[in-house]
Amino acid sequence: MKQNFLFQASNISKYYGQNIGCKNVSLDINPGEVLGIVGESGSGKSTLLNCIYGNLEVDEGDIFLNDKSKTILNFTKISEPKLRLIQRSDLAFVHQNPRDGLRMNISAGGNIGERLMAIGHRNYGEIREIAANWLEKVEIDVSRIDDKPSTFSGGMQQRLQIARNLVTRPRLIFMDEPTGGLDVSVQAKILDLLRNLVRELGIAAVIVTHDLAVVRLLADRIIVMQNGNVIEAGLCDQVLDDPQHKYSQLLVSSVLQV
Amino acid sequence: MIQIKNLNKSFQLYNQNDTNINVFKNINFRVNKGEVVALTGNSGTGKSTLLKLIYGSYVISKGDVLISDINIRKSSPRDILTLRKNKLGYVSQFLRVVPRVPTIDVVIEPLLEIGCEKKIALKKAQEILERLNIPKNLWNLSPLTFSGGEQQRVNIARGFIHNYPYLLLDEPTASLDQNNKNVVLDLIEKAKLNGSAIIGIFHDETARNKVATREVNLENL
Repeated sequence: MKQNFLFQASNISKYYGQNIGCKNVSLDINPGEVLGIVGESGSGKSTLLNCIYGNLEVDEGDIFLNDKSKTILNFTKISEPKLRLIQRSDLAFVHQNPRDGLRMNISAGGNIGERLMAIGHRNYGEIREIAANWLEKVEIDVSRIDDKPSTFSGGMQQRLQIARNLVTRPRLIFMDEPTGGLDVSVQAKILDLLRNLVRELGIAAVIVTHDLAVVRLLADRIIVMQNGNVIEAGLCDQVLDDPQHKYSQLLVSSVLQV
Repeated sequence: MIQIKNLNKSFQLYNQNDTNINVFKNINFRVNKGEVVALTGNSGTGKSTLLKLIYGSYVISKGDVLISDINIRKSSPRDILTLRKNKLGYVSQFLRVVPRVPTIDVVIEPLLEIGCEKKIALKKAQEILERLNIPKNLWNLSPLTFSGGEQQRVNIARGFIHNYPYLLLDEPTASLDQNNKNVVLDLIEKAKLNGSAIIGIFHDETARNKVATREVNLENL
């Protein structure tokens, strides 16, 4: 195993009874890299994402993280509490629906602060200041810090979810259709934000999406999934511009020109 | 040096009656430091395809592309990304950027990617945007709202802000007026003098005659 890798999943399989969720999927990510996972709905993208984040138990395979202290952890071998801690410090997960990733009954500031408290921050003034800072970063008016996310628009909620996830400075962020439910102008805003944060903070990301225009702008490499299998993987523009597999060709030729 | 050895490209289109399109066969040539090779030939002879094969956007069917000692066909996606970041530039006819991002940020991006300090990158971007006659009041706007010629010049600014030792140019002067065309030709000339190895497609014959040191006609190969 290479020493500079950040994250590696090898031969991941997940079955739902007789049905395949994903089968024999391997991938690896270096610090600062963005990997896109594309495919139509039902292809196993979200299953794979949830497996490698540790939300879903895998049936076969191993998941390794080279953590902050350069220790290589195997997700399938560590305890549940340890995994939860890793999920909140080294990793982050942005859901398609911000309601799944936010606590709707506490304030925007509280949503960000809660994550800080979970990793040991105690000074209230400091937490509030960091939260305000992050609201600014994701372009939410700081005067909204005490408002509940239920009073926010969908795009603002999504940006708040991103702030909540990034405040602990994760090194790898998993995103499930992060711009999925948003209208096009808000999507652009979030894409721009994600791109800058990924570069400024050197965060690596795995992005699941069915939107090929989104991956083209964000991803370095992509993998294409069909029926739970990876059918093609490679350089982002190469897979989109010269797909080699029958199904990838269909996928690419089925979208409007982007 | 860029070397093209016995290069073949065909496209297998599975969803269109399994059509196999042969673009070209056995292309051989090399481009030395300080040379500008102009690709010529009618539409459909594979000029843009060849540039995309060199850049790694298309998969090589047979043969090799060598950039210095790096074999593109055998390189991993990561190796190709590193090569593009540091050494291999590409200016296409189309601008593809995240909506809403200001022009100046689009232009400095290649420099930030290689770890250049933002202050220095901004200064260089200002210089090149001025040189390409992009009005200052547009720098903080997204180039997606610009005219075709302005977008192309933003693309050129991005491609020339870093001194790439290898440069691929796909019709860099296509939609420019004479004045801006000359600015771009000067930039190419300067890169050539700096020792870059350049391959370009120039439909405009006067532009081609001005900068190209040699022509490679894909129809005669």
